[in-house]
Amino acid sequence: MQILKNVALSLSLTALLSANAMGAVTLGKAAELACHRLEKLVSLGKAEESFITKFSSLEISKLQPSKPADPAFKVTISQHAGSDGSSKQIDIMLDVNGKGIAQIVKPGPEASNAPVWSDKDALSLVEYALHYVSDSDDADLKPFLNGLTSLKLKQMKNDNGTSARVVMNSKETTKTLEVNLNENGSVESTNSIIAE
Amino acid sequence: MQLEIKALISLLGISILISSCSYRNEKESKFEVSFNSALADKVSYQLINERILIPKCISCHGDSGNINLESYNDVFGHIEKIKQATIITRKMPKSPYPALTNEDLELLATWIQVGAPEKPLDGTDQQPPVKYEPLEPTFKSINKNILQNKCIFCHAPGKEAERVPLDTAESMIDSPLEIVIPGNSEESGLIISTSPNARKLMPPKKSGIAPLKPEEIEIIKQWIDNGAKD
Repeated sequence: MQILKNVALSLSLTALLSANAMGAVTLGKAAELACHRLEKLVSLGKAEESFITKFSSLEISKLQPSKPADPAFKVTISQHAGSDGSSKQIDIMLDVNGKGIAQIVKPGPEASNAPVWSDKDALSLVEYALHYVSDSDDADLKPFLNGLTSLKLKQMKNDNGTSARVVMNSKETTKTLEVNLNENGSVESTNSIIAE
Repeated sequence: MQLEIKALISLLGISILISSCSYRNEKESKFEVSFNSALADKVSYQLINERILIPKCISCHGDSGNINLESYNDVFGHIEKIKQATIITRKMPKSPYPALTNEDLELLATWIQVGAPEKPLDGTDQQPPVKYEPLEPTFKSINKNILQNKCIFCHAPGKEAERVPLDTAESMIDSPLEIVIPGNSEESGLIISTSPNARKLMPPKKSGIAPLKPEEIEIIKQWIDNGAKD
């Protein structure tokens, strides 16, 4: 009986390990897929449109799935804070391949003082930044693809007009990455800087 | 009597054209496209429509708001522009859409040279073999009639939008973006993004490609709801 249990356990572990080895996506890719998932949830009426227009930040962590169908990533997306300082959030669970499994919408106050974007919406700007990091061969950007832990979208204003900055943090480096974009989503520059 | 006169006029026209016309002589053209006399009395609108217009032009020149080339009268009315854009300057089809092959160009040039007739000048009025397959809820049919004409230019490996692959049924089903969820068309990305009220409508308006028609979306829905099996 004990032998059978051991065999079953080994088989489960093998299946889990092989699933991880075959299809695991990076944290940066999972964050990108969570953004796409959020867009879909909005289209299906399962999340408010304000998650797209008033996006503020994203946090991502790896989970420890016990079987392949379990959540492997938890992504929390927050809107800009409301009057009491808290914000509407959504937790999106992804499997090891980055496919959406479940979501929990957490209520909160309406976002106040969220920046207005004239061309692309806030979530799309974040997606463009993540695509850029994902597609880049720049070694300085790789830690942010492989070890992304959080990102924040900021609106920048200067003499040249309005632009977007996506600030990314990674568990693989103490540096912070700034991806600067035009409002149409095209990437202007990146800076990898020592965090303060 | 009327047929004889028509045939006579046609033959006269062809003779003059064969002896004098070739696009290589056009001052503004740096390309060479020869008139093919062997095709002169056989080319027709039906043939051009099947071989060139439907597969290579209608995705943009359908009901997208661009010049419409879906009927003989529309095509004939724009024949000079078509000649200029496809044969003289080669600006059409625009990248990334597939260019006209030499065979296409020869066929088109010959057809235009003989007056862009609706039916063959030899009077046979024979329809070319029908290659067009009716739209059915199968991947093969959807791929040929919709995806290849409106999507694959960008949504295939190595292309601009390769991260959303639409080149095979498997890639759409396996994608973490859930492009196709067998049995669930309502939540399939392919349906969400092509529906008229989509947030980011596909094909994008700036591409010039006509949006999917309601009947095309309906067929895709049927295919997905049937399990997206074949």
